[in-house]
Amino acid sequence: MKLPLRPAICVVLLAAAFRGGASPADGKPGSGLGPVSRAERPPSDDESEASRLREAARIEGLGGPATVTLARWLLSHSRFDEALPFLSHSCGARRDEWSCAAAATVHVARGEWVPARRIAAEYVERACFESDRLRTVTLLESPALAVTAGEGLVRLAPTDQMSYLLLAAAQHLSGLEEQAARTIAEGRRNRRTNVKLLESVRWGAVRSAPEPAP
Amino acid sequence: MILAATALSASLALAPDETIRPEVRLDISAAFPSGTPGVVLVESFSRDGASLGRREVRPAAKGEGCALPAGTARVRVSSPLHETCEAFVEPAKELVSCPMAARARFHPFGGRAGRVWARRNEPGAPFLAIPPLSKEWGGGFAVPRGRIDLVLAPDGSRGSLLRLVDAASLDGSRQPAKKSDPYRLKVRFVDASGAEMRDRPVVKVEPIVRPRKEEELELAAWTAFYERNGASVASGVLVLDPIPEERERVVFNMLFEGQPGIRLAAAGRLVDGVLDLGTIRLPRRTSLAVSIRSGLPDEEDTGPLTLDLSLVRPVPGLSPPARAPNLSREVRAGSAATFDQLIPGEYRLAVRTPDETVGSIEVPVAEGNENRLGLELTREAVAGRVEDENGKEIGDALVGLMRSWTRGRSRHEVRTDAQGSFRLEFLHAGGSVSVWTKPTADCATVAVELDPRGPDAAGVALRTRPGGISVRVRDATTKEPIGDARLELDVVLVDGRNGSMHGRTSLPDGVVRFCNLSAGSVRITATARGYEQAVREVEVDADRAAEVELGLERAAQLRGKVLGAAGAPVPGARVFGPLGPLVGFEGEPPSVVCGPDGTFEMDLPTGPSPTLLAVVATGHRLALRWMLPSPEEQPIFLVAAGSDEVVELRYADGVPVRDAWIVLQKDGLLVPGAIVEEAVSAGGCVFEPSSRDGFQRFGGCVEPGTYVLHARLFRPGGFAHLPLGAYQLPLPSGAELRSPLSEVP
Repeated sequence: MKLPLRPAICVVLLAAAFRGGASPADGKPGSGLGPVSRAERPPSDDESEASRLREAARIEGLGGPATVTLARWLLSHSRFDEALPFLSHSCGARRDEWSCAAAATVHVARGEWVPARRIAAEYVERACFESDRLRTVTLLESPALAVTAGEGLVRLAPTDQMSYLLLAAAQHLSGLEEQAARTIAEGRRNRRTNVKLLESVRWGAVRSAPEPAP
Repeated sequence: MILAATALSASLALAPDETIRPEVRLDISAAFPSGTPGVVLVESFSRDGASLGRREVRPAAKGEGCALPAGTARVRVSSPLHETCEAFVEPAKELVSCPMAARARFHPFGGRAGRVWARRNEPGAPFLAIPPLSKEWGGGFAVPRGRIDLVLAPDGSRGSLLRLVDAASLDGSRQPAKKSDPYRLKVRFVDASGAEMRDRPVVKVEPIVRPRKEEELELAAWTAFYERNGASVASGVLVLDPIPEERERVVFNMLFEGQPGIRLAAAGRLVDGVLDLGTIRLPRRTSLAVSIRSGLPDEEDTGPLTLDLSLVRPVPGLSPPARAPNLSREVRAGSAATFDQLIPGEYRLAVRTPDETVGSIEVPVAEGNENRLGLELTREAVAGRVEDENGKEIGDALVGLMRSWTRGRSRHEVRTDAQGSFRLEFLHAGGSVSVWTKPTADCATVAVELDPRGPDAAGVALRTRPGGISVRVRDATTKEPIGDARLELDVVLVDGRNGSMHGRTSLPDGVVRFCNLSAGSVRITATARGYEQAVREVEVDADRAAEVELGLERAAQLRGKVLGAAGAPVPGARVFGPLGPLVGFEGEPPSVVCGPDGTFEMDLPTGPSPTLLAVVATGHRLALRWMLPSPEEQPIFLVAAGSDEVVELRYADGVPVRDAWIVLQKDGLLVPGAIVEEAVSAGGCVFEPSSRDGFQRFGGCVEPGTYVLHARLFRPGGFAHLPLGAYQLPLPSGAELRSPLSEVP
């Protein structure tokens, strides 16, 4: 039996999100647009940045804002396995939309549909904010519908690599391999900086990353 | 302001062949900037509205006026620099006067070119393109007087909307808008077959995040702007020109007739300085075919079945159509129904017999016409056992069935037998069901969701949890148990779920036990007649019951009597209280009903602060009163329904003040507005934003006395409070307060 969400909880979580320095636009559909999103800022390449963030996350406790920043740094350096635990903490503790979406899309890029769907379904059921990205992940079970949803995502957030990744995944699951490859390519064109997630895709004709070592 | 005014009274001489009534002359009073030609356009009309001619008139000499053609009943005088003036010729008068109010003239773009649209700041007022003034007129733009919305679009820059500009305050030397991003948006729409859409869509500008009130107004103004001026379609390409500043925080919702709305953000490739979103395909309309066959014995007829399909939400990037199609079909088992003209999205299908809902199914409906759903109506059974945390059976526990998204109490409820077993039988057409149990009235429910046709249906185990709370309620002074305290628990569990539970103590120990709680925080609110409310928050462990003791303080008593306007008691009036200091509250507050003599008694918190009460009685306005507890009987006078006080709010220039609330203050305390929904619908006390005519209506909520009135207005960055003075209320019947505001905030 589903109990209704309590507004007070949402307020508490929202307050926690703002304490964490999130912009009001973060965690909203389309928040990957231009300079509005934190995800769009290129992180530093300096390895000491990661150490500093790890220390901050340790002091602050997993799930805090430093965890999100650290996870973003790791994602931007294609260190997905390392990033996933931090994303999970941030997603679980703060219901941070970006963290949940990033965790789900890392799994989508690897073709791990079940954990991706689990993360998305938990967010959609419990979070206070709507998330177009995570709703599209839940729709991947109905690939034909997910294609329409992915096209909508690209319209709403055309500079977010997750939009292209989810559209391509829906196309791949619908058997539209050629279109999926085109979508990934278009995503790489429209995103001139961080396209690590798009580069990590491991399914269908758009396979672009090596298989992990057995 | 450039208007270096030179007041002139224009006069003119008509051609000799025209019939002149020298006794009817037009006196034009207009101001022109120095150095510009003082020319106005005069048009005369007959009594039946026919034009008698128009001509440009250059004032010759001050004070002479001009003669009008014979038969002139009305005259209109206009110029690009002035508000149009219309005047009527009255039979007995020899002089028609037309004072022409100057428009604000300004140069918003410095030396550069650009375009300007303006509209009066009124709901539904259209944006009008303002033509630039020629060099002869001094250049720039002349805009209507009063409060206006402006769209400024300097060439080569994006547009900016200035709301609520008082034209009189426009500065002629205004800084030009910064040249920044491209300002036009271009997009090409094709339908599902690839054909270009040639219809112009309705364009709505929506925020990405929940907007502040003034942002909402601004976006609505943009929508109105595109409706009228800003959107064009040429060769299948829609152009929005200009687009708002901070466009990354808005989405454009394109609504084509008969199509789902397309939502898109203004971010994309730049082509020749234009934001080109390329080609966007409109999704296909789709359909869903539902067939339902009977798996019941032939002799069992369930009667007609109703299929209710509802759109839970469209897929991201689409918005629902303005006119929703009828999504209800009546079928019989063994037949089929089709829902067509659907937009792609997530739907929910409810299957109902005349008696109950027998299926609730989530259905994704994709583009194309391949969406099919086959249902079977069968009789299913779910059986299982209810046991406590130690595995011991619980007999006589209530067990029920629930389907997602169906309202009302389940028709299928049974009690467990002595072995704790239960069996539920029901009609089922599809979807999952929840089986729940509430072992005792004070226990939280335990539920499991399952497919009744799946393997789990025959052996459902409903096990209670050890976590719980035991609350003892005592008189804080005497320590005696209180045997009639009402407890309310707001339960917030660790996993983010929540719920609420209620219980009541009974003597001799004054204890209530709540069981079957999972770990989380619990807020306990205890109320008892004659006592003040007590609130406590405790943490509950998952594996043991917590014990809490609450001591309640004795409350003070209020004795009152509700009286009508003529001083007669109002029996049956309902007194709500104590109420919070702000408008609105969760749930219904405690209340008492007045006796035949209009009297009532109520417990109030002790202390120096007065408490707010609301009184509701048929035929009377809702009354709100601040009161202190007292053993003396205190009167509350009601005002009969239908009597309003009216305040007219206008700015000094006569423009009605809209989007303002009236706030009343008495003895330093705010008098709240809306309070109880039923009272509001009965014409209660709501101080609404001023209506179009600038009048504020309120009344009946106030007892006789002197009140200080404030106007509360939305302004960018917050509210403005304007004092309107002190007034004696209520006003005599038919009276109005006129409170002109002396300044624009």
